[in-house]
Amino acid sequence: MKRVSLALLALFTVACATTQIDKARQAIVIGVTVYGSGVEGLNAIDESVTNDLIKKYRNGQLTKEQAIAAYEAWEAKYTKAQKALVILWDSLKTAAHVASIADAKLGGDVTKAWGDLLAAIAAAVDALKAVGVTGLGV
Amino acid sequence: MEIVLALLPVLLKAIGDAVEEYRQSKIDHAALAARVDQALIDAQSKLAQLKADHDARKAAFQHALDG
Repeated sequence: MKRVSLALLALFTVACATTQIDKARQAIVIGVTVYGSGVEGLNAIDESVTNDLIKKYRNGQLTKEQAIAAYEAWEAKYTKAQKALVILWDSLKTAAHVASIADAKLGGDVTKAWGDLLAAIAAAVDALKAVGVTGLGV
Repeated sequence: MEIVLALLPVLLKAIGDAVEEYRQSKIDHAALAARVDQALIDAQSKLAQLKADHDARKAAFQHALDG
């Protein structure tokens, strides 16, 4: 009877650990979607903004100083979103690494990595939306 | 002892179900792990490409202003 109880307890423990790892992996799949859509969206907006400024400068709608100021303002926003994507990428790699370690029963704080990843996804979504990127899949 | 014997079929069934559930979760678990690995590989070069594209556009912008 005691052995049966222990076996059931062991199965329950393994099932719980698996759930945590799977939750982390599901968050990684969502994070990769946000990351992929975010990179594409940011790239498209960067192209659009830069081309628009060049066009306006050539048409005489903007002076050189105005074009430079507008570009610098855009680049500040762009850099913020790009940095959020770098952090998201690092969190994705860390979560995947930690999930693999935990999967191999070698330790690893899956819950922390999962939390960090969710925070990075939220920050990236905010930063990308701030520059006009839509269709992030969340 | 009699109670244990009476409950044995129920316990064996519960264990069998738990083992099957665990086996199934391991299969799904492996599929998800493989999906994550592939997604990360696909995503790997995106940031470098974003930076390269941005740098090229910035150079084009400066060239347009200088020209």
